Amino acid sequence: MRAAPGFFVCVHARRAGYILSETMTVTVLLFASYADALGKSAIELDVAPGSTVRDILGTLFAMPGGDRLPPRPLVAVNQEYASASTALQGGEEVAVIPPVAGG
Amino acid sequence: MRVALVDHLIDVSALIAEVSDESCGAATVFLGCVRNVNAGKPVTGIEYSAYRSMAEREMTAIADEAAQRFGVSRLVVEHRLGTLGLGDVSVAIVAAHPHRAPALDAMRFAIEQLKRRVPIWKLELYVDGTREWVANSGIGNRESGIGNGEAQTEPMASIPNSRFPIPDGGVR
Repeated sequence: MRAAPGFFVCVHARRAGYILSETMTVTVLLFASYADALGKSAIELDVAPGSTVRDILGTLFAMPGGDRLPPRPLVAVNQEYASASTALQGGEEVAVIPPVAGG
Repeated sequence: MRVALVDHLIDVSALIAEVSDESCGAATVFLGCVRNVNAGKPVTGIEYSAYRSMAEREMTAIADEAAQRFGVSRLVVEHRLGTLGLGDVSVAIVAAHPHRAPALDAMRFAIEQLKRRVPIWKLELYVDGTREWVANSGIGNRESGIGNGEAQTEPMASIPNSRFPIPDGGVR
């Protein structure tokens, strides 16, 4: 078993019995109007290896209140603006950034 | 050069003293203040919040870019968070330089970039008891599904984007 940061072993129940599969976890941060929309400001998400920012957004859209997010919100991975195709390794902080309003 | 998010009153005099010395023939100051009306609605105050770690990182990047572009390393940027009342200073930018042109350019650059890319949000509080998230016009602010409005403290940049281009971080 590889001991990469952010990876852990997750047991999934299947009809055939129990199997081991590897997933990774990312921390999703929501702010301002987006936190209001989903009713929370932080979510721990277990996602499949090779997942991208787009996959994370898809998961968020499917959550209660996720339909209130815009179709292409800004996203930052580990405090840097990222694109939808940005691949995740696990352990990242994925922030969904509402329209900024500093000043 | 220093940037900070603060939870207290911004002391403008202290900031001027911080960046200036006898070599500076110019010190320029920009203050963003809470305005009493936005889009025709009377405002009582603004609640500012931020993605602190990223906001400080972006503010630092902006200050570094100002130093590179204009040769102005005597620059301080403070943005206040929390609930502010009318007239309160929400952001202060002070630039100092031997000559006025670089100080003016660096100050203008810093506020325009801050308004476009630093993850800070404001919840406007209105006289009628309602509240609303408002947005500046900047990257990612074109398709705001929730909360769209005008910049509160200052009309948006009249500077063409081509003068101060930044990477478009929007998700494609």
